[in-house]
Amino acid sequence: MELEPGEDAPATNRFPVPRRTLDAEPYWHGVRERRLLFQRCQACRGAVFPPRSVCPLCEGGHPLEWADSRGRGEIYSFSTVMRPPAPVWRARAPYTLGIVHLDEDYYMFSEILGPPAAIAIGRRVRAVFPEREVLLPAFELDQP
Amino acid sequence: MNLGRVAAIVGMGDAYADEDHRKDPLQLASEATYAALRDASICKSDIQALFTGRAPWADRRPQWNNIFASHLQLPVRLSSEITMHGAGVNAMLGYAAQAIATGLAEYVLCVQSDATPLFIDTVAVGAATDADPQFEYPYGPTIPALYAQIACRYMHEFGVTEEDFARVAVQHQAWGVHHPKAAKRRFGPITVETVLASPYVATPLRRWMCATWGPGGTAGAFIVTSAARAPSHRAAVYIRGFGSCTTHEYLTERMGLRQSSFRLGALPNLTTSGLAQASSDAYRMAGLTPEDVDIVELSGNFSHTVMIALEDLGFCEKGKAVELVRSGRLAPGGDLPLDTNGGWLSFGQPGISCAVDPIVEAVRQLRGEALGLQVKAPTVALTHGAGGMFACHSVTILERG
Repeated sequence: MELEPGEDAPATNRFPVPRRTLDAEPYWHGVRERRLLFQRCQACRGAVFPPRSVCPLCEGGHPLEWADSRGRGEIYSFSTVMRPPAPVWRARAPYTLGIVHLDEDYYMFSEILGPPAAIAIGRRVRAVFPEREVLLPAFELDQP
Repeated sequence: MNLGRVAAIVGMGDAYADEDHRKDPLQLASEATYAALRDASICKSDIQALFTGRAPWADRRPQWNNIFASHLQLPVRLSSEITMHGAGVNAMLGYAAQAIATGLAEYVLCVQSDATPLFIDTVAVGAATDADPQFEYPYGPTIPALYAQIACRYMHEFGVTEEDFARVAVQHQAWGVHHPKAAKRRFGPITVETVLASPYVATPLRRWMCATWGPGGTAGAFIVTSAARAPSHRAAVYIRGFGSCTTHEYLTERMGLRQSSFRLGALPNLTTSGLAQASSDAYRMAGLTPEDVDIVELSGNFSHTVMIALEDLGFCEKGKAVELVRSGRLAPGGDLPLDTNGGWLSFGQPGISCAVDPIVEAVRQLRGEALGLQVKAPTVALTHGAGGMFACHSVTILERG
């Protein structure tokens, strides 16, 4: 029984594309327009991310509405990837992935652009949309 | 009914594979099961319920519990995969105790095997199943890079250093070098300098701070029966308490979790896990406290998750595991032996069965039958299963009869 790498094996010759959910369609529409969108609960006004159909913060199962983020926030945590997951990433490594706390009080996992030595918890960042094979929002360090 | 007094493990079997002795998950599980049946002096037909964890990486067919029952030609009246990522492997003992308590079965088989390094391209698998396919995976994370988010916060919040992470690895290797099946045994004892000289996989995690693949394959099988029947078997080990808790699937979802009645610290955070709730439930069921525990067998995939686990298990306050590590109490000769087979860091991670290896080690230690270093007459063992992105936790407390 010699098993082949299964469905979980990532394609090694191209960058992965996001597996979009219906809940997130407005988010990806926003990305195409270089806008960063998130959701707010119509009842408790809490910020919600990743997108869903019902507010998970309050008990009422209230609907959510979309809002524009200013795209500003600070680094909550980060790690610089030294051993990338697949050959396609090798040319980009080392690259830094982190969690950003947006000013609207929600958290996003993203890439943090800039020299690894300059990246630190608490540093201010802003959203950018680098022109790459797969269009994704990233964050760059605010100038000191 | 106190579920902490109803069931006992009365048979245990383990099995191992490597490149020179290749076995697939069905072979490993079969070997372990028949060893457990012989150990318990019962027949296959005495088994009325079967639990497994999730399907082995090396044989990813869903409903593996049913596949294995069929493979054994073992009709059962109650069977399931217990799937909370790898934590379900630990939790299957609790499910077995519930099946005994409700009278649904007199003997329950709990079994898990895997042989990932022998059958799977372990470089190609990885974050694909553990990162959010929409909001994380497209950025190119590895599993270490996701867990490193927790490590980075842990260092920031509690002043922990890479040297402290290195000490955890050194102490695990000090146990692992004595275990004949440990994947990293061949490297011999290491020092803090060895760890700090190993390359970063994803900062701040260096290679020695990360669980290694291997051994090639492992399996563990346990026969569980009632406490009333247990004394008629050899060397019963009682299931005294169990608890589990799952908090999220993806790391980003954990950061979105803002409130819970569980013991998860001030939300959101990445440095208190569901293990705090799981262990609290297990201790209460057992009527025991951390001070009663003689040996600890964790699912510790990285140095920092070992430290966080020690805190969430109540062996020290939050942020103070660094003192426990520096004290030497966890190393061979210490009074709180930790991961006595070398743990995931040195024994290794053969796939999903990495969550069964700590239970095998606990039962062997309690019976005085360790394959590696034997701790002197332990009575109470705490076993931990973890899975996902530090997402799912299960604790089972075992006591020698």
